Amino acid sequence: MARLFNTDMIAGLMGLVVTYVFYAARGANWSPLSAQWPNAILVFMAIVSLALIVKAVVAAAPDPIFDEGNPLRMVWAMGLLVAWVLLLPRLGYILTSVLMFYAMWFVVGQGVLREENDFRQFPVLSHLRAIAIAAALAVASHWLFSRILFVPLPRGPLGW
Amino acid sequence: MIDDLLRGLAAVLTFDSLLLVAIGTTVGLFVGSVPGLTATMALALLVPFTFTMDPLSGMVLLGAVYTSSMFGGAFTAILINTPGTPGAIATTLDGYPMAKNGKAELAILVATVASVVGGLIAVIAVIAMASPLTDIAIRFGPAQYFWVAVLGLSLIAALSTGSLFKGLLGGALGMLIGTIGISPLGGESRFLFGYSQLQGGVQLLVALIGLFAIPELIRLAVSATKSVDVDYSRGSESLLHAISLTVRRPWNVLRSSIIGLVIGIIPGAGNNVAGLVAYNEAKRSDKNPSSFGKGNAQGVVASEASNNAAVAGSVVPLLTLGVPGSPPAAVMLGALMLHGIRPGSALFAESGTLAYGFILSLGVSALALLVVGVLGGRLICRAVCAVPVTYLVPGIAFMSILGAYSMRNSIIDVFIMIGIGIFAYLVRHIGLQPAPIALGLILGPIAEQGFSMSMLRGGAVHDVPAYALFDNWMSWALIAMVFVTLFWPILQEARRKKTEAAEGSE
Repeated sequence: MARLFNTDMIAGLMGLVVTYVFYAARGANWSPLSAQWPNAILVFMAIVSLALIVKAVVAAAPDPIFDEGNPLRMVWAMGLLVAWVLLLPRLGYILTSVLMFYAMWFVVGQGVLREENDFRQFPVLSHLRAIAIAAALAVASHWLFSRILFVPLPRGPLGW
Repeated sequence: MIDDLLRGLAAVLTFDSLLLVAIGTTVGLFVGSVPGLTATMALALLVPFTFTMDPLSGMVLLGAVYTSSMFGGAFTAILINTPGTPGAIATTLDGYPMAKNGKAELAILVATVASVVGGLIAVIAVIAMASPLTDIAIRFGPAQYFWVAVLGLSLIAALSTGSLFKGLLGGALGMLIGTIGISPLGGESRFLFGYSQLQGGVQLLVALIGLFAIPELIRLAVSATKSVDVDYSRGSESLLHAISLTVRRPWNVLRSSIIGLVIGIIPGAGNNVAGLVAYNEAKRSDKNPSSFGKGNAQGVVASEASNNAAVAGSVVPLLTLGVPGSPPAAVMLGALMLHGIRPGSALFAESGTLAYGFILSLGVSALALLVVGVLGGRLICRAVCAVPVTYLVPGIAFMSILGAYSMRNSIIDVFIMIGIGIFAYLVRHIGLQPAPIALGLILGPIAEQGFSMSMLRGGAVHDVPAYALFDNWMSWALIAMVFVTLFWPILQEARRKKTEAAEGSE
């Protein structure tokens, strides 16, 4: 059974933390034209956050959170997205896209099998097909963007 | 005028022009349906191709791309909960729930019909009333822009599902993200957190991809099951059904088109605002507002009719004043000037055939959407629904990263997109939805500029600078609309409870 949390309290506290982070990042010498609007938003945000905290205390209504699917796959998905961006300037567009596309296919594919209580592994042909599709997409989009749309994509050590 | 109109019509209905419309709508559909590819980018790339054409043919091509790209944004909004263009944000609110209910194809057909009807209504209105509409538009000052933005922000009350406070917090977060970068009036850098790359601010489309596409991607990966499918037991959706759904509430499509037209005319407001305002009005005036957000086709009708009507609206100030109403219209202004034509009040007198021909071509493009949308829509819908979730997840990641990068050729934008996306996924679990954050992000900068410029003006003409926000009847009209938007749902709820109580006592 999913655990219940007071989401009003969490949202209110998060709002206060964000307010503080932006408040601390304000420039000391901003002119009124630059400062008025962000200040107004920060005051508004602090008030709404406090209202949420008060509501959480006065009328607590706990909700389930992160109650869908497998949380481990959430970490994998987020990690792969971050890895995709980090590798892009280092390995180049084509290599990174093929690698990360394949990795994501593998993680989600394993998830699909586990959700169906199927503990077999994908056959080699499925792996090869995923790599081929990833390579075709990467090469075609590289050609479209660099040759037709004139958007240069990150190059890796091999020049692509 | 009638002579110019007829000559314009004859010029648009030639084989060459119709071929250009067909090419333009196909290109626009592709551009609109890929998050990250923008109408502005496509138009800028196509301008050199128009050099060898006569001015009207060039404008017909560009107009068709612009019209179709606005419509193309609905495809991804409906199928993967990601607006392909900012104008399609409101389409996600009911289009995606329709798709989750197995009605993806119907949602696309409804979006197609609404786009066509909205586009045609706007073109007819522009031809009939270009001049008086422009007179209203040029009276819009900073204070009115501020109130238009506040009107848009008041929609948070309607968009907040579950908790108004969380909706307001999301809106404030969006507005705060919108302040990152160089201040528009003061000129100082704000909230860079040590990264000079943030000086250019957070690109709207980058943030929208992050807010809508990435959380959906993570959710799909976590659940490892597809959420959108075509319910084949319903059989092939009929176009007549979509038409009947759209015109069943004629006032909804008419009102949404007028809202789109008027907001499109106001330079800078843009069709993203139009879609949201029209959606809110549709929800507010419906007998069953609680059905919105759960797959009500009228929500898709309102959003799509208005964002396509805004296309015709945005060319009004372009042609009559030489002021573009949107970034794509700015590219078209450049194309006109490259052809030696200076838009302005004399354009209709000196080059009436061109002016009316161009406006009429937008109507022809809207009609072409019916063919492209019905054929291409079914095809794209079934293709996306046939993709297994194992390929859909990396496919969305691939398109999102490519789209974010191509905005400014910047890895920082991709980082921002992923960061906002992961944040949006996490906060969705505590009840903060992406729509209010997107609303704050879009309207915050418009509100800030209007507010700051009003204060500057107010300091010069009033004892209290803030009076500048209230010294015009148009400001008061907008303030009244803000109040109606905020309090109408409360009144409606009270009325519903009263009726229920009366029925219960009988």
